[in-house]
Amino acid sequence: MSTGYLIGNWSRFYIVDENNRSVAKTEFSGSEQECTEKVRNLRRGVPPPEIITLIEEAGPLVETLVVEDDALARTLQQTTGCTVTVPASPNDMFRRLRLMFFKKGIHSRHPLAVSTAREDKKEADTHPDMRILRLVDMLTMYDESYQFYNNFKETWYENRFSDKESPVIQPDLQQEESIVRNTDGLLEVVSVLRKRTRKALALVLREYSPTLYNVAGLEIAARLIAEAGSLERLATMSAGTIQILGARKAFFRAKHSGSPFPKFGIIFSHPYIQALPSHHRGKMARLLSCQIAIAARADVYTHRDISRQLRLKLKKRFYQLRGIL
Amino acid sequence: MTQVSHTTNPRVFYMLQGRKKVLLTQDASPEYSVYGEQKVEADSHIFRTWDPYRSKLASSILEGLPSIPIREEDTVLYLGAANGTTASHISDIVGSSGVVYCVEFSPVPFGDLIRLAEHRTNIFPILADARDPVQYSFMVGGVDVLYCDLAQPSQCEIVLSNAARFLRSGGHLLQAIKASSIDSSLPPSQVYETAVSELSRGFAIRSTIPLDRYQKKHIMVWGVYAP
Ligand SMILES: C[S@@+](CC[C@H](N)C(=O)[O-])C[C@H]1O[C@@H](n2cnc3c(N)ncnc32)[C@H](O)[C@@H]1O
Repeated sequence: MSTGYLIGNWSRFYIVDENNRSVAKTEFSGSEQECTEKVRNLRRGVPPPEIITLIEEAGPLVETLVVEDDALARTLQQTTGCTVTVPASPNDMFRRLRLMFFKKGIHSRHPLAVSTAREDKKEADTHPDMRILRLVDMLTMYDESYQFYNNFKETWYENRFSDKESPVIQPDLQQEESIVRNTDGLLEVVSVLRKRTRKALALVLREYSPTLYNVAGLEIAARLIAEAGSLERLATMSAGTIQILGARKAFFRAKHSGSPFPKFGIIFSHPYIQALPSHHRGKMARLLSCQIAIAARADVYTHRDISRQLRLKLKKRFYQLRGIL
Repeated sequence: MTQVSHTTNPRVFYMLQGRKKVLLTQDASPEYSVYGEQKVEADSHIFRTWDPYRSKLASSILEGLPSIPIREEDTVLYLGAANGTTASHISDIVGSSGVVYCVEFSPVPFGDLIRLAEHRTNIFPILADARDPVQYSFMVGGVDVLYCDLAQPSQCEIVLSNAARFLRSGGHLLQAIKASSIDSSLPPSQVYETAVSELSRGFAIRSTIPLDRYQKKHIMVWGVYAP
């Protein structure tokens, strides 16, 4: 009776004893699609039948099984009844075994690797974080193009009619003007697309991070998640970081040159901050970013919409600062 | 007729354009252009130009990395492979018997890595966070070279924990360090010094090459694993 190490590479797995001898060996069976699912499940801590059989086969020879993954260790212990442990720090045994067993001859697993990569990418693309990231990019693009075309149009007219009272288009410019006039149609399309993007964002956010959505509002919630990279990463951030999220440039400028640190980033456009005189905005921003931090954590860890309490607190503070309470 | 010679590494080539040295690798997928690089035909082989402004490994070579420690048939673990610009040249260098495991956690550039892998059977794209090597412990085998270009504050720790799982003793580390991605308020030299001393816990450092001519405030660290 001894210790066994579970090592593997995509679809081929071994249990190896302390003397580097393989005591059992297996290869995933099934179509490429089935094998891909097995690989992806294993990474989530769900072992395919081949791994269970492998452990049973090694059973009489192996007292303790060592694996590298906590989640897998738990499920294996439950399903096989074998004692399964995970080394506290990277165990040199695994490194040496990997070099011994999985250094060459890996090319046969290339198709499986590519198909796993494709499935992983598909899943990542439909993840709410990625959808929010893309929709925020679209929103930014529509905002910028609206402003761009609108500015162009206004400037064009301003330059042609210095006399605002009685606008007259010079005959030579009529053709030009008729093109510019049609910019209106473009602006309309852009604002329709912008509205649809907001609607799509609202659908994702209401489901994915309802507390954050209700506390920060649609655009701030979405932009915070996009800037952090994911809701989960936002939930690990301190209120102080959240307060200046999106003001990266100003932050580093301050750090280098000693100019004042930015007080707000993305949250600056929140109506409670906008509606206050500037000497009160910092105070409001501090509470708002605190509530946002709590909201993001609630959405990630407890999956409960606790926005009612958080909003109440914000509202109170707002009225206090406005001098109404 | 283009004259192509090899550098101190037999798998890395160059040609002269006037007095300028243009780096090349022998193209493993002539029908496919990875990032708009030029193709050059010489000695009945197709070569791809290797742009030092796009790839920190190319600039390291031009800036005096004695010889890049990647050989034909080597197995390489690449952390932060992004679109695969540099990874594709490493794929040329190791050739069809070698392997390049490409770890990248951002799904957008990962799409390009998948396309690259469709044209090159030695590219294994892995969508995962390099901070958590257990995630891919069933996908990566033992490796000869660890290449890291992560732009992460904790990159040295990440390198050490990946080496401890995958890199052979005596294997090589190439790590591109951008000073500002570790700490933008300290002078770069101080950031490099701290990073190198952290890496010394597992590596004998062979050289550090400043890359400023091509990538501002970057260095390439070359080390040999001595666990
Ligand atoms: C500077 S780029 C790499 C460019 C690439 N090495 C080249 O030369 O072609 C850094 C890449 O590392 C990725 N990255 C950063 N942190 C990561 C992590 N913890 N795990 C995996 N990839 C990461 C980023 O998504 C980004 O694509």
